[in-house]
Amino acid sequence: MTIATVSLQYAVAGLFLLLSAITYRKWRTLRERTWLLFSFSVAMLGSIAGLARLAELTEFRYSIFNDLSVLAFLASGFGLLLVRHELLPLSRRVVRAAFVAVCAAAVTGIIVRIPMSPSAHFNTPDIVALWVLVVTWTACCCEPIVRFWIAARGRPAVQRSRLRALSVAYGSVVALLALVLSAGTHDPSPGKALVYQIFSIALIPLLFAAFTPPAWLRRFWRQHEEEALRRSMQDLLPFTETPSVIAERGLEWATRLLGADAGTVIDSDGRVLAMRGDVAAAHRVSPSPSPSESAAARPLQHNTIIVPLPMERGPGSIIVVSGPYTPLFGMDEIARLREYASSLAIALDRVRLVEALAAERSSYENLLQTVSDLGEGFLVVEKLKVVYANDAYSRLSGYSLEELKALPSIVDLGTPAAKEMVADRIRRRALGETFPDHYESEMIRKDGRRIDVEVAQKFITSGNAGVRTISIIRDITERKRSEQELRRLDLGRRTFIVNAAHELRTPLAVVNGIASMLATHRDAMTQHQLEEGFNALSRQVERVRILIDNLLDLTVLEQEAAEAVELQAVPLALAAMRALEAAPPPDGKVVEIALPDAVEVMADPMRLDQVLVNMYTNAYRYGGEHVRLEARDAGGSLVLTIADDGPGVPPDLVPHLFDPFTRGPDSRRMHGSGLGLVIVRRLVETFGGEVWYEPNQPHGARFSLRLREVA
Amino acid sequence: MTRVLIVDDEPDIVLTLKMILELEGYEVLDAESAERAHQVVAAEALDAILLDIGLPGADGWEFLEQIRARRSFDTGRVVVVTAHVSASSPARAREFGASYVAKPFRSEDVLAAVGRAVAKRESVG
Repeated sequence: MTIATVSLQYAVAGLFLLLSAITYRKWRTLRERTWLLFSFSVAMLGSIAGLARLAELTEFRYSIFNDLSVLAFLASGFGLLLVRHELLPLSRRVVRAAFVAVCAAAVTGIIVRIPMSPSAHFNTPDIVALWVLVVTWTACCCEPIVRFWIAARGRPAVQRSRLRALSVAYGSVVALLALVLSAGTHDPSPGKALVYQIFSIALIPLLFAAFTPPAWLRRFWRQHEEEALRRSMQDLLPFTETPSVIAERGLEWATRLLGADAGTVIDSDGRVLAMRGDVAAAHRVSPSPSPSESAAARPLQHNTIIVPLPMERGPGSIIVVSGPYTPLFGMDEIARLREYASSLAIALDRVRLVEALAAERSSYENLLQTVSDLGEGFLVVEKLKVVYANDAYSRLSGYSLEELKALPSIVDLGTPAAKEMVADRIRRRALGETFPDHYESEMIRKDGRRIDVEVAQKFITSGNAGVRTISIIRDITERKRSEQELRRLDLGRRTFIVNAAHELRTPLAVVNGIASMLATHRDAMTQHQLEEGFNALSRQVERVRILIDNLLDLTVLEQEAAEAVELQAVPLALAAMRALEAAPPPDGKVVEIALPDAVEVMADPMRLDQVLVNMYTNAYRYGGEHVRLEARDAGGSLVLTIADDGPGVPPDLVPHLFDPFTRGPDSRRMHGSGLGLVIVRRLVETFGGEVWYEPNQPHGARFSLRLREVA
Repeated sequence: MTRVLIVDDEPDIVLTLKMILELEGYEVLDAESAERAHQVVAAEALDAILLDIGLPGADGWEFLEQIRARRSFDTGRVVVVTAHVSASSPARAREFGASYVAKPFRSEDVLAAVGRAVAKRESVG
């Protein structure tokens, strides 16, 4: 054996043992069995070369070196199988069977004691034992070689390259052994021995690269991934999914880029945005590190990287955990991940911004819809042109949104007064004057109907859009009408009270005046004066009584107006007779009742009697000598008329005939209350009927009532 | 004898005022409308007028305007006696120089107002 070969043999043994020591150190740091088993396997390979050298130095006198070599050889193979078992678990049965095979081969090798000397003669048992050893060892190595190669398929570039490096490295060891065996059992030539040793040394960096690849090699492996990653980073920005989807996509690339096994993306609030693999189980790390923990890029453990995600809402983090196939992370991986994290953070910020804008828009639309649901019109106008109007405004104005947008000016919808108001507001705004945001105005609908509106308006200056007015418009036509009706009712009530007071003043004046004269001048009064005085007192007291009765009747009617009156069939002729008995004609008046006997109307009998009494009384006071009661059929209803041949109602009085305290020209002599016809109208309305006046021919008055006839 | 015209369309008011004035020695004439009152004013020598406002046809205020315009009677010797009580009525009466008595009235108020109206004639005369 040449000196060079011997030196190389030492170098091989030393380098294998060095590699073993390095991997052992890794195991000491990481406490992962893979490293220990690999260290063991490599140490065993290295020790074979050392034992061969020792045997040679002792001139092959000690068989122990033979036995130890056999054991080391088989142990290196079995050690590799266990490495494979750690990375890709085998079934227990297979492991046990392999162990038994290895033990059997070891026993065979030890019993047969294969000679170590290159010059020794190999008999048949030696050759058989040698083949048993080689086949067993090769089986232990080849299975992982093939398995690693197959398992590399479809894995991220770094993992794939590393698995294949392992496969190639072990394949090379097997190839070396095959080369040695193919040369036969004889002592190789010095040249061949040198080649074997050089080949053995070449295996060292291959194995080293397979287990602890340097940064440049990792970068090399990553080259294709880097290209895809660049495209992914570009894709992240226009990608507008949810933050979780973005985070999952980003995490997929982060783990793929580093060839990592698991990872997670943590939001600024500690929430997990995405997770790949079993992070906690992969390296027993907390999935929710505090922001301070994730503030800087650093390995949390030797096989974990935490890189901060510098997001707008606060820092989050990406945690990447290496797997069994992942090379240890170095500064290069951290730098790459940090770079990627920045892009991911921007993408997350962007998608959140888009989400926030969408939420803002949604709440804006909800608000507008709510405003619309409440019937409030919402209008955005720019340079007097409609930019936006909600459904409620369209309903309010009668124009569709398209029609509103096509209007030359929104002011066209206003009445002249409203146009003037808008012009005034624009002028005051130009002058910088303040004016109220709320005002009432009028507008003309598409159908020409004028409506009253209440407007709350703001001027908004927004960038390129210029000045916009945003208005909420409410239709207050009904409210205005109600207010007018209330004012009218209030005026009517006050007028009623003034008139009632006036009606009481006259009789009180008579009572007061005559009573005071009776008290002071009774002795001076003639009999005639006394009689006239007492008669006047009596008439005025009666007048006050009637007035009070009528006022009470009206009050009761007002109270009962809202209540349903129970109607029944009332024979009209009988009711007319009853009323005539209650209000018989005074001297000089004649009443003629010309009603068919069988006619019945739907009414409240008591109220119908009161109606008829009032009508008779009215006719006696203001009519002529003859009063006639007649009825005619009017298609489902019956018209009852009281006609007289008096002077009739002066035309200027007719419109006010059924208003309170309206009385005929000669009323002061008649002592009426001025409420009789008002009461008649209210009573008839409770029956669902109506009352009206028309002049009689050739003269006189005709008061008619429409009543529901019983079929 | 002092002559007073009562212008009112309410018979019992006329009766009451007539009783008050006659028992105090006045000679009383009456008219139920402004139109009739103009005729009396034109035909008779009167010392005072008791005037209702709510008359059929032309009302009391119109009657005052007319007699002032025609100078047929001194409106200062008119006593407005009315149930149409409003815040502006006394002031309106004063514009004509007339006195104002609201219904319901006391007999002494009526007599006092008529006395003042008659006194104006005497002071002028």
